[in-house]
Amino acid sequence: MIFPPEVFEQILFELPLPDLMHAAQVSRLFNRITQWHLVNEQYIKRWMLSFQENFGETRYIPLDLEETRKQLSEGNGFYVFDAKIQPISWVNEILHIDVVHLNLRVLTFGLRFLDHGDVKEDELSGRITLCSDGS
Amino acid sequence: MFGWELMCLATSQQTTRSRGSSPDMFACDGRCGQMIGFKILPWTTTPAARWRMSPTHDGTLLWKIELLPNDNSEQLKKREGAWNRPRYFDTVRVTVSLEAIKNEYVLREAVRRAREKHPGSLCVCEYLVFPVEHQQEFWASESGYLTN
Repeated sequence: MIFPPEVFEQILFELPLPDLMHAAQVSRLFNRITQWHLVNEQYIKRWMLSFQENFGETRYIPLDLEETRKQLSEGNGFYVFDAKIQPISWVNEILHIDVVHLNLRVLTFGLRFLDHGDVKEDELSGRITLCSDGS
Repeated sequence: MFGWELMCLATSQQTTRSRGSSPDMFACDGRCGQMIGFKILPWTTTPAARWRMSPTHDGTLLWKIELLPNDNSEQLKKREGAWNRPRYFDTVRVTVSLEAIKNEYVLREAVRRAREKHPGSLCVCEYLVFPVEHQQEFWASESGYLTN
């Protein structure tokens, strides 16, 4: 029994990125569908970056669809994530100088890529904090 | 591995890199397998960009981080006094290629294997095993301490 390509499209759509990449190696059809999904807004809009400021709270940055669409249409193949963070001024930060050790405060950021398979369901149900609201 | 030891030793040191270069990263902070780690130093000016070129495709960007000043930064400058000249920014824009995303999954898998192999170790950075080009061109170069 041979399924029409639309069925495979739907199946592959449900796969998180690592599995999708593996599926692309199965056949030429799967590879074509994969390439299509990688520029398909419905697929890539599930992607996020986790963003940790100074080893503190982890927040999640959604994909900037508008900017990504622009990058993809120009053939650059880039995905863009925008995050609003708390405004930072070094006049404020300098108050945190550790006088004893003379350690200047350094802001440390960590970024991780998350597909929908990487985010737990309970996090998706509302416990995550998106950065796009500027908070 | 000498390289990892060097990175660990460097965790207590400041670096003068501020813009236009790969970011700094501590190897032994327990967060191995992280896609991108970077620090913003007090003398970083905005807008600033840090990037990493692809290890496999010449002249192709792997990822880029931009720190963008917020719209009302001029007003805030005036409020705090002109001579202080604070540098405000409130937007971080991250541009990543598919290759960078794939690299993260490679790193993540390497971390998972290392944790299985060394369950008693809090930091498994030094046990990571992944393709050489990732170690030399992607992960290690992020530290800013190793040169290839």
